[in-house]
Amino acid sequence: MLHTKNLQFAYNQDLSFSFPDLNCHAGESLLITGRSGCGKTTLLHLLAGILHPAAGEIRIGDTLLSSLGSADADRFRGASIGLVYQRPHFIASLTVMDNLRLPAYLGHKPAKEKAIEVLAEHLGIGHTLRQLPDRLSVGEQQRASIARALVNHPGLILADEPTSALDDENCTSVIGLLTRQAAEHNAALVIVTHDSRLKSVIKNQVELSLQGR
Amino acid sequence: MLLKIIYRNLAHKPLGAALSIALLALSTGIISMLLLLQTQLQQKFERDLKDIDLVVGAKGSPLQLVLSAVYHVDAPTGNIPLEEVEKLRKMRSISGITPLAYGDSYQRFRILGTDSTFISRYGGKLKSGRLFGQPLEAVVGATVAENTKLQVGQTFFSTHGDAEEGEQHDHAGYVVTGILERSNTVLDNLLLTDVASVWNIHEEGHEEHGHVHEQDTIHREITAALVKARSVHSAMTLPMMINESTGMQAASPALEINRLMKMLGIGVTALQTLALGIMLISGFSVFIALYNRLRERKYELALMRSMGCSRLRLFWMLLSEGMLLAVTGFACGLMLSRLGLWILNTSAASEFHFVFRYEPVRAELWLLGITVLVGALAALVPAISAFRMNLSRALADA
Repeated sequence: MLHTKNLQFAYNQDLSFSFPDLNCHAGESLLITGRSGCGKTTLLHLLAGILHPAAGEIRIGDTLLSSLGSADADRFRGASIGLVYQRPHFIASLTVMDNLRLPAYLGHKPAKEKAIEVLAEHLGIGHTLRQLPDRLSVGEQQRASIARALVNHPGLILADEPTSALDDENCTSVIGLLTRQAAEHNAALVIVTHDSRLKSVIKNQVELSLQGR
Repeated sequence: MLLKIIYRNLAHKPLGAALSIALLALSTGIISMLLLLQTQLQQKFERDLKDIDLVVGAKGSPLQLVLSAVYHVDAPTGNIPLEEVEKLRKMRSISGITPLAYGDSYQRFRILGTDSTFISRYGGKLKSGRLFGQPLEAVVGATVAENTKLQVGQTFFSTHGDAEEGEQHDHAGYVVTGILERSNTVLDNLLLTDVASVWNIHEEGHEEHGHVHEQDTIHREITAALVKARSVHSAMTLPMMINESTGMQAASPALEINRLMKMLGIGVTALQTLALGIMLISGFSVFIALYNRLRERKYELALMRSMGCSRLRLFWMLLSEGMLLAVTGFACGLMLSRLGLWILNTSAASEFHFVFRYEPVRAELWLLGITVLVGALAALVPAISAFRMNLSRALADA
C-alpha cells in the first residue's frame, strides 16, 4: 500500500534528512521510532503530502504522491489518508458529529450520518455525538479523532504520536483500537512515535537515526 | 456545510461578531435612511413643482413664499391686491395664472381658494362628485378625505387661520361637492374652493362684527399666484420686472428649492461623512474580529487543510465570513432605517403632510455592494494569511 524510495527532504542547507525506504501493506501496521529531532514529523508530513520531498518517491496504492502538485495532494489526502495527531484537535464550534462529517465534506465524499453513528458506537463515543468536543474526556477525544481518521475509509492511516499524551491504560486501549480498526478497514497504519510502550505492540518497526547537520 | 461552519464559528465567539454587525448596521442604517429621505423628498419637490415657473406674492422671504404657495408648509408672506394680479394676466409673456387665497382651515388641513386650473396643473382627477361651481362649495383632497371622513354632500365649518382650536366660522358652512383621487401631490392635503368663498366667509363674518368698511379691501386681495411663463426667456426676465415695477415679489420655486436643498445639503453631507466614517470603523472591527479569531483558529484551519480542504476553499471560507457579517449588518441597517422612517412618520407626518414610503430605492443596491465589499476587504488579510499558511509548521506547532 505504502512504498517509499530514496526519500529526501531539506528545510535549508544545514537541515536536511534522508529517510530509509518504507514498505507497509494494506491491513498491516508499521512503527517508526526515533528520538526527537530525527525527522519523524517531517517524514509523516511527507507521507501525508503536506510537505513535498526534495528527492525520492512516495507511492500510495496506485498513486505516486511525490509527483502531485499541492492542490492535487490536498485532494488525495482528503480522500485517501486518515490522520491522527498527538493531541486531538477539533473545530471547537462544531459538535462531534459535525466534526466527524467534516472529512467527508472536505474530501468531496457523501456524508453518511448513519455510518458515522455506527462507527462512533463501535469506538464507544456514540453518546458524545451531539456535544461540543471540549466537553469530552481526553480518552474520548482521542477516540473521536480516530473515528475522524476512519470516516472516509482511507487506504492509509498516519498517526503522529497518538499515545504519548495518554496514561498507560488509555495508551493500551487507543493503540489497540487503532491497529484493530486499521486492520478491519484493511488500511495500512503508520505510527511515528518516541513512545517506547508501543514497541511491544507493533512488530514491524523502523528506527530513524539522528542525521542531517 | 460550509455555511454551517462559517455560521457556527461566528456564533462561537458572538461578541466580536455582534460588535461588527452593530457598527455595520448603524452605518448602513444612517446611509439608507438618508438615501430614502433624499430620494423621496426630491421626488415630492419635483412633482409639486410641475408647471410653476414663478410664484407671485407679497414682499418678504422668497423661500417662505415658495414654501407656502407651492408646498403649503410655511405661513404665507401676506396678501396682494387682486387687481395687480389681474394686470399680470394681460401680459403676453405669461401664459397662465392660478390665484391662491388662504384663509381658513378644517381640522388642520388648509382650505385654499383657487380655480380649476390648480387641479389640472397637478393632474388631479375627481374620484367622486363634481368640481366646486359656486361659493361655499369645496373639493376635498384624498388624504384630507381619509382623515376627516368628509363625504360628498356633507357640510363642514372652517376654522379661522391655521390652528386647530381657532375661532370657528359657524355661520356659513362649506358643502363638499367632490373628492379627489390620490395624486401624491399637494392636492392630497388640501380642501379646494373658489376664491370668492374665502372672501365670502370673511365678508359675512365682518358684517356680523360690524366691520363692513374693511370689506372692499378684503374683497380684492389674494395670497399668492402661481405663474406659468410663455417661454424660458420670459421665466427669467419676469421676476425682475415684477419685483421692480409692482409692489409684489416674484420668486422662482426651482431656484429657491435649489437653495434650500443646498442648505440642507451641508447637513446631509455631514451625516453622510459620519456614516462613511462609521462604515470604515465597522470594516476595521470586522477585520479585528476575524483576525483575532484567525490566530485562535490557526490549528483548526490547518486541520481542515489536512483533511483535504484546498487553499482556495479556505480562502473563500474566510472571505465569506467577512461578507456574511457585512450582509447581516446591512440587513439590520435596512430594518433600522425603516424603523427610523416609521418613527418619523408616526411623529411628524401630520405636520409635514407627507408620509415616507418604505420600499427600497435603487441606491440601496449600491449600498449593499459597498457593504459587502467592505466586509470582503476586511476579511482579505486573514484570508490571505490562511491561504499562505505553512501547513506543516502549523500542524507541528500545536
